[in-house]
Amino acid sequence: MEFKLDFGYLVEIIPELLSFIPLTLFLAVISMIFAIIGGLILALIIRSNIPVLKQLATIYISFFRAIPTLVQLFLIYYGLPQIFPALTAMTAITAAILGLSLKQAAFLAEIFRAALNSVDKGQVEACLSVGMTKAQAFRRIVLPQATRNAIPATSNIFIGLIKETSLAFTLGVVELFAQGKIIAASSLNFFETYLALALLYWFLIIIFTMIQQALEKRMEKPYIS
Amino acid sequence: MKRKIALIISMALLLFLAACGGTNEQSKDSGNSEKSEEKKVIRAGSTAQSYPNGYEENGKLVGFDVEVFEKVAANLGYEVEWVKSDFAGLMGQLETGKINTVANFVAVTAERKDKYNFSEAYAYAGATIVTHKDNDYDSLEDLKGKTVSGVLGSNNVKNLENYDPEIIPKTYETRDGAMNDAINKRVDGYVNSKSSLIAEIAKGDLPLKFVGDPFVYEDIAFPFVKTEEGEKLSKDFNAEIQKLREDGTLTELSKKYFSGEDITVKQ
Repeated sequence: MEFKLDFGYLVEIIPELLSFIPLTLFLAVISMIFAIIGGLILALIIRSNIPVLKQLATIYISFFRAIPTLVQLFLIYYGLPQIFPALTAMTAITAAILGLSLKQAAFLAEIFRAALNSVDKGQVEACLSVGMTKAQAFRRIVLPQATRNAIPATSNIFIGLIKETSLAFTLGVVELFAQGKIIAASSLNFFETYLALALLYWFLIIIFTMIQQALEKRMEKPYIS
Repeated sequence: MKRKIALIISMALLLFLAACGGTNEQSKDSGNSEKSEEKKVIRAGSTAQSYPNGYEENGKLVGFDVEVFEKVAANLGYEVEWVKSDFAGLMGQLETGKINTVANFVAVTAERKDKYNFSEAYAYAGATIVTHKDNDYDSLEDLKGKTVSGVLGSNNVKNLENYDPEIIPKTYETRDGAMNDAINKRVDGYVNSKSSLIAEIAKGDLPLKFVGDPFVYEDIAFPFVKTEEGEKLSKDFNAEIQKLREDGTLTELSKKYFSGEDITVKQ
């Protein structure tokens, strides 16, 4: 079988694939929001040295960084309902978002912890010396600097998350990659379909990178003299 | 100070939980509204990646198993709701009651019989091996010590191991991986049901040829869970499958999808 690329077919299926981008983005963005909230809470707990809570957070991070995402999704969607029958009502999309955000929260906690540690202790002491409360110091001085430092690594997590949403197909959520597989299986044009998918994911990441750069530029403002 | 941090953390935790709870409630609501609207809905699983058993054409799920199932369900007065997922996911959904059955060329095996209530067989599958045209394997004997690809959960791999332990099986998640590696000569053969292979080769004009005859035949049926509801469904389905077999609908559907082959009678 000599190789020939059916370029017309590649173009033809792009509109069909495009219609699945909203679902992929929805899964990624919602999971990311929950993951950021969860990651921040975990990072604060670890830094605050509150007994018991700190140990629990450490166990959480260790567990969710360790297990493969697919295993986790299976556990949540197929395993939990066998222990708690009420959970059969959970939709596949909810399970996917839950699984992805629980996992990424653990990774983000480490990134946030590093970012918070990157702000020198002396700055907080300076804040306190001019009469700010600890909360004010955190909000006005520590958080803005930590955020700036956390953006590149956090963006990496989000880019990974966009691609990890394809695991939701195992739970019956047909998103971008799943639809690609379905199209390829019926037309047998595997190469064209996967190439179209690659281009679409690339396009998504290009757009996101632009947003990231704009965000970084804004955070950079106070440093430009 | 510590108290304040603890307060912030607990508030944030609450927020997180509330947010999670929110999505859960939402999903429950939509589940309920689905239930109240439904008259008689039956949920069935398909990989939508198994040509010609279940695949998409112009955005619509079609295929032999899909159409057989829809005919039976329609005659019983059900509206069909399809769930698309990989095979392992489908079996998980069946087990947890998220779908009623899987209409994806599921073979009846002893282990599966222990676990599920199977309907009557609506087709018979002969597991066969194909190889690249360039290879000169003529019988299964020639494949001793060679690698043969197959699909996870399809049962063909297990049958092959039982038939001849000297043939080395290689398992793939989906058919396209198993098939493409045979086409690219990364494996020496590819095992699947003869009917699917005939259809795939015809559709893609693939450089594959059959090696010998099917080495095992299996019943293809719809699995239901072992509950009262599952038992009732399989009984209802049995009657309808028999009717469709008698009036020739099954044969007609088989010929439509399998290049004129009738896979609904035992060979």
